[in-house]
Amino acid sequence: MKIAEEPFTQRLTDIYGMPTDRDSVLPSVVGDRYAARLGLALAFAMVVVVAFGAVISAQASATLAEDVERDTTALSDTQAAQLDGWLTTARRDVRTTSRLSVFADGSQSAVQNRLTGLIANEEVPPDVVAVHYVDTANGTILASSNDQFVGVNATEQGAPFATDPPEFSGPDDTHVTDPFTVSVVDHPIIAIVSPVAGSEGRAIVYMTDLEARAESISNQRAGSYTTVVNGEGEFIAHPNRSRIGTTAAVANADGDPLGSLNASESAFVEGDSMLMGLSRLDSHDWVVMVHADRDQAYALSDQINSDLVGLILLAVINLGLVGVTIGGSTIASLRRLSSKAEAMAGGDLDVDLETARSDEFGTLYGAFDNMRSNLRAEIADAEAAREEAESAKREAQDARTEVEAERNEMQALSSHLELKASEYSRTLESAADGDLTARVDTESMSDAMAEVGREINATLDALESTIADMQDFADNVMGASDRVETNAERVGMASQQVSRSIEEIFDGATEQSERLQDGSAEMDNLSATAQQVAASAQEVAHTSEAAAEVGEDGREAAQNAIAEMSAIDDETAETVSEINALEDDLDEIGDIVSVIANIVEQTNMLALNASIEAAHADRGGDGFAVVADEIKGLAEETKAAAEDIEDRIVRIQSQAGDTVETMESTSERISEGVETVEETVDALETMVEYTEEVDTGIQEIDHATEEQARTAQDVQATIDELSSISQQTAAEADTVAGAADDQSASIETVTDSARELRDRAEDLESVLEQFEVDEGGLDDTTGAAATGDD
Amino acid sequence: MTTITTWFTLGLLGELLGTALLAYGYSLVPEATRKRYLLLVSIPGIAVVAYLLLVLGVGAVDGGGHTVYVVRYVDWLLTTPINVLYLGLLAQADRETIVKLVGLQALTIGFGFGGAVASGALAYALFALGTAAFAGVVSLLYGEVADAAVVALSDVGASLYRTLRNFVVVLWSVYPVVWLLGAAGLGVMDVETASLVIVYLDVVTKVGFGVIALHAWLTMDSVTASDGIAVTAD
Repeated sequence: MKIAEEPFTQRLTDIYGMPTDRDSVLPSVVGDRYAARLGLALAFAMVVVVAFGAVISAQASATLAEDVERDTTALSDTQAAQLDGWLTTARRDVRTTSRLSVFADGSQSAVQNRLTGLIANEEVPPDVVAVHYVDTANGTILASSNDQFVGVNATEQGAPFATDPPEFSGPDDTHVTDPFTVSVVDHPIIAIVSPVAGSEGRAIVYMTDLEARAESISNQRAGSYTTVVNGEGEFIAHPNRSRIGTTAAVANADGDPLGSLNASESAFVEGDSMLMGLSRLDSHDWVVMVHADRDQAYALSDQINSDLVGLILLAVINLGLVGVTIGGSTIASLRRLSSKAEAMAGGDLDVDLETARSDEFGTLYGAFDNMRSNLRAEIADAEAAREEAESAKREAQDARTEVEAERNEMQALSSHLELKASEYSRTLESAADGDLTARVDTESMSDAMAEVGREINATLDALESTIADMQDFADNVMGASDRVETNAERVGMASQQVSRSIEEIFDGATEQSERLQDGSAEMDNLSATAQQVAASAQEVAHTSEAAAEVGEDGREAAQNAIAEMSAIDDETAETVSEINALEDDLDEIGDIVSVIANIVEQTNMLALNASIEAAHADRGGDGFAVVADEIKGLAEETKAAAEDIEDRIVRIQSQAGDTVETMESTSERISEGVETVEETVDALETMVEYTEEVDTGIQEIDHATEEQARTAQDVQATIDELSSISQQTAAEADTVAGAADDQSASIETVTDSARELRDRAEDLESVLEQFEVDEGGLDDTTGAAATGDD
Repeated sequence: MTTITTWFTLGLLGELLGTALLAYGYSLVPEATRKRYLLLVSIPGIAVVAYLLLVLGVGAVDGGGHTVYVVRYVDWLLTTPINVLYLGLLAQADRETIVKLVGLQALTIGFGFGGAVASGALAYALFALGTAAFAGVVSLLYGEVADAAVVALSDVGASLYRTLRNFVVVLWSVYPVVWLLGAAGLGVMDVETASLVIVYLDVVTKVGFGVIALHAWLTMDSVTASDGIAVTAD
């Protein structure tokens, strides 16, 4: 139960949200309580209803007051207009009547009849009770529509129109008097007077009952009455006759509503118990006053206000009713529910959650009931869970006990193991200090520990034997080292002897080498000289070869010259023969020319003959003579030409003869030249032969020289070879000397090493001596090792 | 006057209906509470008689310029003390307190009648006395009697007491307002309207009081036996 209590309370708090409702604008006193909230809301509603009712009342009252004022002034306006119309009509009527001629010049009876007829025939406006014909001078009524007035002295009666006769500006003027009473009639009278036109001292008087007039006008609305006042504020018509002539109260009222009123204007005056509408007449200085009862006028307004108050009260009653019943029962239900929820929050899940309500509260109760059953289930679950947890805890405790027992065992084992470990550790430490004879006790609770012990013992056994072996080995090494040292010293001495011998050999070889180098230089010179000779011989050989070649060329040129000359000789002979043939031809041409000359001669003769003939023939033969002349001319020309040719042939013949002679001499000279050239050729051939012989000799010299040079070079090469061999010998002797030195040094190193080795062996031996080894168990192996070494 | 008679007739009908309803409830409430339940039935019952007389035009006197219905005051003089008596009994207040309660309530009505009949300053003085007496009633109902109810009653019973007490106090508070606004006081409300309001108030308070109690009894009876026993035991 207690497990679920906290979250349950929390949940209820969440559901109700009570502590978190702090951001409300309402004061906490109101905000904390639903009743206060509801009361505030209802109070607000009531205030709104009252305020709104007051506003409506004020508005309605104002509207109604305006209506009353408008109605009242409208009424007074209407009544004033009616009265005005009546008065105007009456005055016009008086005027009209006064103009009637009968009143100016008619007899007494005629006037009387007329007046009676006016009333009887209702020719006058309403409420005109009598019409008089008056003598204005003494105020006597001379005639009247009412017989009672005839002969009555109006002055005596106190009628104002007689006691205070008005002045008329003309016959159309009228006068309205103030009210007065006469004994003959029982009501106040207002007289309207107009003078009779055309009859001085006579006037027509209308006597009117203004009271009746006013009453007939005012009888238009119940609860109101009408009065009329004149310009001085005195009543001239009032329902209460005693008031007539008295001054109206309103005339002295503040602001003088009566005096400030212009013609046709209206005003509204509100008294304590009366409302008055005032309207001034247009045509006369009278004011109509409509009096209305205040209570009666405002009855509607009062009724409306009363009803409004009633309505407001009913609304307030209903609001209170709602608040008390619905609000009250809601609050009660909420309180019950919240007390039950609190009881449930306190852990009492058996509270009663029944309700007869079927509204939201019923649902809420149902929801709480469901919640409760769910809670019960959850609590049951929680308890089951707790029991499970407790059993789990018990199991855990059992397990812990077991674990602790195991841990104790483990601790025992662990301490035993620690003991064994320290034991092992001691043994191993003594082993490390050199005592290899110690062994551990392998008896242990732990098989693994026992195994470790056995292993340690085995290891120590192995170590002991190994150390013993090493000690023997060190002894052996020491012996060997000593021997090596002795031997090495011996070898060192031998090496030094070798080194000295080699140095001597080196010196000899060096000297030999120097001498060979001198020989070689001389042989070089010799060889160079031989080569120089050979080169000179070759040069000579080349020169002789060139000479032989030139000789050969010369012989060939000579032979060519001979051939040329032979050819020229042949050509010359040919030319000579041709020239001879030419000469023959020229001879023949000469013959032909001679023939031609003969012919010309004959022609010329013929022409001469012809001319002679022509001369003979005389005149008729002139033409013939001309031809003959012509032929003669031609014959002469031809003759000249033939002679020319002849001359030329002669000249050519002579020239050809010269040429032939020249040719013959040339041929001779050529023949001589050929002989000379042939001699030259012979000389050249001889020279060539000599030259070739010289060349052969030189070649032989050259060969000999070359051979000599080769021989010198061979010698040189041999010397070079000897020199290099001796140098090599010296170098090798040097190398051998170095090697001998190296050997000597190496042997010293060996000696040092052997010494060092022995020192180390001594160290080892001293180290190994620290180990205590069981001598008895190791003698055999030591002996074997020693013998094995030897 | 026809209007006011109409209101009185409607009031008569309302009271008749309420009386009938409560009379029917008599058979439904637990046996043990029936005797006291009769008080609840008697309240509208008396009102029925009063309204009958009003409808018939009996019992109206002139109270200095306005009509005062004497019958109405007689009605109130009888019924309102019965109301508070019932509350006192319900709350199981001690006798002295109950007597004080009933006496103060009777005084309230008496001063109210005096104020209605009188005029001028005297009327207001009597009205003030009546108001003071009613304040005493209210203080008792919220103080001693309420404490007694909390001590003596179960949750549901106390709740019923609170509801009935609030109902009475809130609705009765309207009566003096009506008195003030009506003809006897400021005269803002005419007699007819005031009568209408009072008729409605009368019907609601008299019948409503009984109906709430009846409903509570029926609910309690059906809800839990324990609550019912707790209430019926007294």
